[in-house]
Amino acid sequence: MHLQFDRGTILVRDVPSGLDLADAPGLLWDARVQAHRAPAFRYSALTRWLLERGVTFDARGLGNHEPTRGWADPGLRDYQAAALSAWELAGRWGLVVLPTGSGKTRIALAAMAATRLPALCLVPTRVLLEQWRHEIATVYPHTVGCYGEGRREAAPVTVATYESAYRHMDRIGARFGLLIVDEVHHFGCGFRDEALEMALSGARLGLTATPPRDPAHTGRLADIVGPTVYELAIGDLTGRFLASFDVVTLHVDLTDEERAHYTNLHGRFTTAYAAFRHALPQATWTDFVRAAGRSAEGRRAVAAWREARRLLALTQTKRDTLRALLDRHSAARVLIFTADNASAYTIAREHLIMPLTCDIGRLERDQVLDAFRQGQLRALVSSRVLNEGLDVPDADVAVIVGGALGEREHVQRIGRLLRPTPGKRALVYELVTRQTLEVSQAWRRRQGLVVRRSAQL
Amino acid sequence: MSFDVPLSYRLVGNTVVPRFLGEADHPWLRTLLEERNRLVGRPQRELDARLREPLTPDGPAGKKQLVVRVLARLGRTTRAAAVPPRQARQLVFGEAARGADGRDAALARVASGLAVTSDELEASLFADLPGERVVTDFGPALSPTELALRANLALTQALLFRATGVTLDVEGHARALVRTAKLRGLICTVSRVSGRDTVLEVSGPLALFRRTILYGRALGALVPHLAWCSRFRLRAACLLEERLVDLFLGTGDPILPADPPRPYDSQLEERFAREFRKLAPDWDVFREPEPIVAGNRLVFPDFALQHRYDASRRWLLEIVGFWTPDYVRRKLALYREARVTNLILCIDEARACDEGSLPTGAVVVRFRRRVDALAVHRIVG
Repeated sequence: MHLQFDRGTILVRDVPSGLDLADAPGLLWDARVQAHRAPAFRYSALTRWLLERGVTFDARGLGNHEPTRGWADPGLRDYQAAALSAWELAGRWGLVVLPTGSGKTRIALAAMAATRLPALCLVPTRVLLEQWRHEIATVYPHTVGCYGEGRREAAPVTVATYESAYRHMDRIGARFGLLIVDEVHHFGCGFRDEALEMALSGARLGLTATPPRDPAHTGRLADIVGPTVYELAIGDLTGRFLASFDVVTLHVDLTDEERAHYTNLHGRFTTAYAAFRHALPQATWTDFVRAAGRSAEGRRAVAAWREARRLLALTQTKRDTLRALLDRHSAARVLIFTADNASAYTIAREHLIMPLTCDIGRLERDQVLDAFRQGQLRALVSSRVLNEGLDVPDADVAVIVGGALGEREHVQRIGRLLRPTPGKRALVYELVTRQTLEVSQAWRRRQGLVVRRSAQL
Repeated sequence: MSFDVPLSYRLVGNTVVPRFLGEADHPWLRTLLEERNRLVGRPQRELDARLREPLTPDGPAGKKQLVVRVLARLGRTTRAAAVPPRQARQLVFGEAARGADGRDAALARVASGLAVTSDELEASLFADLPGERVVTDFGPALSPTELALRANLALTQALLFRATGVTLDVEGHARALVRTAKLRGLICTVSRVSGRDTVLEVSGPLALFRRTILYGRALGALVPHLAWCSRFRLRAACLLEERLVDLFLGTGDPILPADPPRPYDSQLEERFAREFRKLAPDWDVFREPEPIVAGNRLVFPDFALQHRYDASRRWLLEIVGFWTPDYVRRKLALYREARVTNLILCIDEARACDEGSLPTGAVVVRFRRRVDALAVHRIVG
């Protein structure tokens, strides 16, 4: 019996007669090629099943990995060490849930060093790609591979963006014994799950600060990465390991002119939206946008909504408030978050603050982050690139000028300021325009900060 | 290349009908191209803003968005800046962080150091951003017709990007399709053959387990090749608006075709054909004869050799490049399954990828660099 990795799946040929494969994990008959086939992520379950039945098979070296060497001790805090043991005890298959800023990457490094398995780390963005490579290089002496940003270099330890993993896992899926998934909550809802399904890795570690809570999503995630094996909430670590922080919400107004324009736009939108909701109370926002695309009136409503959002992104009062805040905190390291790139550039021009956006190349981004760390730049402004775990140490003040973002992103933005330094108390300003859609958005965002269910130790 | 273009289609029952651009769209396409030409030398964002405004005559919203994206994808912008933007940013933002005397003073200090004006320096800061790049001319002028065909190709591929699998009913040119599919990691099976028609099912390995659009990009790559089939019909199941709908394409759909297929795969084949014809004037040499069905697979011999006066004397010939004994064994099994007996395999001795001897029971001509036409002629008599 032969097991062979075939483009993200395992092909099983020469099945001994008399062996009933009906219950074998993941295995189905593929009439297209006249052989049995299983998704690659079932590999360890499948081989275990075969071994339990005393079936001999030739996997042609699949799953036999040359151990990685040269790891230095990443040095774990006690809760990080506990998380790692919990994962080991769970059979190296599961999720570790820790607040942003608590050093999830460090646990990943420790997992790679402890298992010495060739490892593939999946990260959501190109910026994180570089950051992970950089982190790994501090404890691992060899070249770190890279998939993403147009590069395709595989090495025993490799970092890949989700996007390139989705596109190339059918070719590289057999090489890694350990799969580490950063911000793992992005998976398990059907979008790009194939990236995880096409990997052979029998050891899997998912990391997140904001795990999904609905059963369908959790169940799916448990299937392809594993169940939650360790969880700490922000309250468990604040003060002791994380800097504490205060959130100050500043309510700002629109100018008369802006208000008139906003009311007009908002009116155009609500008329169409209310009519739609009246007809279809169960419909979602996506349904609305789709339905709106079909009529000129609907398209105008959506356009009005977008225009209103653009207007709110950076109003006159927000600009004035930001100026005052920058003056007040002229000695602090400040991160400014905007709703869109255009606002980021406007602020960049107005205050001569370096913007970090997707348009800024990787090399320049790295240089900018270095300059910020060393104090040569005291502020950065960004819409998207600073999201999700990008390691910007020692920021003291964050200003959220605008954001259409969900709870998760907000938590992560604030988390950015929580990198531990002794005695630090971070300050987060949130600018919210009165009597606009920003008020309810801000309220929804703040729900994400409510202390979560505590650890499952 | 990005497949992310605005989708312009309508749903009729369970079928998605792409809104292809046709001759009726040429007037507004022409206006759009003229507007673009008028803004050559201006920043991209001005063109974007202009194209958001109505044209006269104007195109339908969905089609227009599609065309604007296709135009943007064709590129053609350059950068115009007095100071390289990266250098400008590094100097200006660094200086601003050091100085406490305000924005304009910081700009002026850096500008004088670079011997440019403050305005020039400020204009350079983000001159490399997509919106700030300068619109330039298309080399050879782009006609409304070509633009429409390109937009239709982009639209079709974007729809197929959401496809879980396709069924192809083709006449002729199946070889290029099967080859493209294989190169893209897809699995091709033959579900039916009637007359000159071949029905192919194309999907990816993982599609066995779940409905996936993982292979959409690869499936989209087949589209430009379809135009070279003398007749084709494509049916794809696409995931649109959270349900599965059918997309049908057929001969004559206005889609930009791929470059014409090359008559010979390699000089090796060309040379063999030439030498064999010279050596054996009684034989006809057909390149890429009809594919042969073996079970649910298609096999593509490179040549059919047919004696001109004796219909019973017919041989198939395949030239094998890189090979392993296992590969040759499977290939022979396919021909056997298809009940082909008069088969000659020409095997490149220099390209064996594995140890081991060749399976027996095949007529094999070994070669290095060139296939010996004389040796083949001896076999066919």
